[in-house]
Amino acid sequence: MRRLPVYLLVDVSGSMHGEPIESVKNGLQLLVAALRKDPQALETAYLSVITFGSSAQQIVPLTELSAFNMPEISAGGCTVLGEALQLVCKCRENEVTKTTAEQKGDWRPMVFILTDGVPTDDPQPGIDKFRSMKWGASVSCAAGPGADKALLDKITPECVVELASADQSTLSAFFKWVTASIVSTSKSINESGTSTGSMDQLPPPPPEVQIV
Amino acid sequence: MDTENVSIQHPAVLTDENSVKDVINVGRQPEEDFGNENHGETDTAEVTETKDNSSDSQNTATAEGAEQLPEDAKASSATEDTKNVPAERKPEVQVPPVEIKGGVYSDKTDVVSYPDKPERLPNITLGREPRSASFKLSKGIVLKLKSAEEREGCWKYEQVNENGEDKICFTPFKAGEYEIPVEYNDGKKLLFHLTVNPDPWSLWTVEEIDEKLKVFSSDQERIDGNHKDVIAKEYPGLKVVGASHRGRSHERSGTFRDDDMGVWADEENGNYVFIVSDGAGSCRFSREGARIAISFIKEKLESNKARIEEAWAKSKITENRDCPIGMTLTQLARLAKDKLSAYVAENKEAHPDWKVKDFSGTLLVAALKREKDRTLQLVTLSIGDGAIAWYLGGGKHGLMCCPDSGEFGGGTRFLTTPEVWKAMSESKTNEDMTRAYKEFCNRRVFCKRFSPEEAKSFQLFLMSDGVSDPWFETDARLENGDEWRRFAEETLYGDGDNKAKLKPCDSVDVMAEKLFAWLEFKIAGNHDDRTIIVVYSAEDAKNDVQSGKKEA
Repeated sequence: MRRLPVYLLVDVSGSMHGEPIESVKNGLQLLVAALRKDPQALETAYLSVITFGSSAQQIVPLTELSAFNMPEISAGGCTVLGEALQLVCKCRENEVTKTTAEQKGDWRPMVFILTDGVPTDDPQPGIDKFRSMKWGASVSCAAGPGADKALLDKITPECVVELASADQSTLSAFFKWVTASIVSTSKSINESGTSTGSMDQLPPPPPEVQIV
Repeated sequence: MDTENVSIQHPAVLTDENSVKDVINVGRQPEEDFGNENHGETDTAEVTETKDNSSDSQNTATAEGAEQLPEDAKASSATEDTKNVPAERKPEVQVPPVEIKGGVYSDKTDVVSYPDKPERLPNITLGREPRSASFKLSKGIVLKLKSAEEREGCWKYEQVNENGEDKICFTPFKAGEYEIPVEYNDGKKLLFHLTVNPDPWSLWTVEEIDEKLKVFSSDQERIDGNHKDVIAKEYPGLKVVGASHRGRSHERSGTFRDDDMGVWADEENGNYVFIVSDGAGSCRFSREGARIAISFIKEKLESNKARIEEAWAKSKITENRDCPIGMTLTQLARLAKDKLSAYVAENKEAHPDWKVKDFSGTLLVAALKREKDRTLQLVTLSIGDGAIAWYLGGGKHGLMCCPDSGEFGGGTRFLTTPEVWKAMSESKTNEDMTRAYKEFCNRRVFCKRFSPEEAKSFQLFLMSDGVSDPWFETDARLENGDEWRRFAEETLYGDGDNKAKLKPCDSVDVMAEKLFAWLEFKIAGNHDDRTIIVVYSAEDAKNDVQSGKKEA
């Protein structure tokens, strides 16, 4: 079966400590719980979580929704966004099935990047590699005023969204929107057999989530 | 291009007034381009190796955690203090409760003395294996359950001994997130966390169609007909059954079936045409596009019976794809496309927002001639995905359509896709036009002749991608005789889950109903509309595909 891989890249640097990271965990939990109620997402969507603080780690490999368990996430350290981009490309190469004559591969992965700060490593090699691949919908989210929106625009020129702050209700709205985006994408690939990965296939974001 | 239909030189030109008028009316319709991209995961971009930093997965800890009791759980179970939370936990952050089907167990007074961090049991999905989750116990230890969940029928537990290992085994009946407190007979306490997913098949609901979605008069008929369509016909030497089923995804979203199908017969001359159209899921009126295209082609066939017969007479087909009948099918498809443009143009005033693209659908057409000597001739045309194939038993098969995927390196083509008709639209002279028609035929038309002997076991299938995708998946498998043998002999005639259970002695009515019922087959990831037409020989008696039995 053709899977819809979804990679969530989450900033776990020191500045995310406290309410932001708790809100992310909570948002992730809501996301999984909501997707499990949608038959198409439950069948199609596979989730992976990559965190980046002092190092980038795939804390949840690409996992079927029904088998997904909340990982332990704690915040601290710097922001190696560049490393995280390298890692998501590598994970994709290892985990996502390519189409061959005998087998239909997976759908193009969706990527959501959430960060509240400026990368502490050189992000350019990661950006170059990330941009060399074709993704389904790819969205980066500037959580709060500290994020470098211009840089995020280089990573996902298709879509950068902004949150006024990284508090509970705002992040919750963001995760709801991510959930709706995954639901609508899994619906569209089921119904029309296509996923253009363009922004107009994603539902309009709530007021808390501003498109930059 | 406005005049080509009256001037093109081949024997099967359809020249009744309507077709000419239609063509002239729509000649100036702007044609839109389809942004078709490659949608699947086919990216083969070269990527260089990065430094190895993929710390594999801390996630596996959760799976392993179910196997044995980690140290920290033992330690914290000794303390009675729930306020002793790790520093990174911020209790002031209000975590809204996750809404869960089946209920959440939260008898907090009972949980006070239990560890802060529950033991994770492997997730369970109802309706799938494994049915239960187990946790290894130290030898001889007995557990007392503190939860009331069991009584509510959410799950049951039992203590088992498997291969010399004592285990506690939970079998859930309801979806939900469960925290299950247990107590050892030595007083130690444990908390289990069990995630139970609903049975994915139970989540497919059938919703009413919203009034706002009713646009065409045919929409009420679709609703009245309960979104079901079957064909059951008997002709001299042939039986035809078909079924079209609304996809689960459409049932759930309360939208219409976009697939359509049709049969036209001129029994006197032994000429038959079978049509399937799969309306594009992304186009809002594709159901009506499919309906209009099919009924238009049937009307044209009916008003041009003599010409069709003449075209067949001049089609000495073996491999000749641009034979007159192939050219005729091409012209019919092109007129159907023009008909859709004309329809949009006619409604321009009332519905300025309608676009030809809104009416997009694929087109599969199979013309079959049964000669007096019982020879069968088959000529097909296809635009877009789905499949047409003949089958003679024993894996002897032939695919009669051009694989759609990858044809232009990506998305499917539709009847209304301008690219399909580009060469014809750009033709300036009759020679250009004739060449364009021949090129079209050589790409999209297929011909095959069956001897009277072969005709006895002849079967023909037309199917939308809602059927071909789940059963064949790739173009390579569609070309494979074994796959067709499996489909034609086991899937349609076999007994068991997802099998159609057809019997050669079934009447066409019974067969059509069985086909329709079969179209509800459950294959994960496949919930599209499903349409299939099966044509099979009724020469002599019907050949029994499986045992060679003959019908009484």
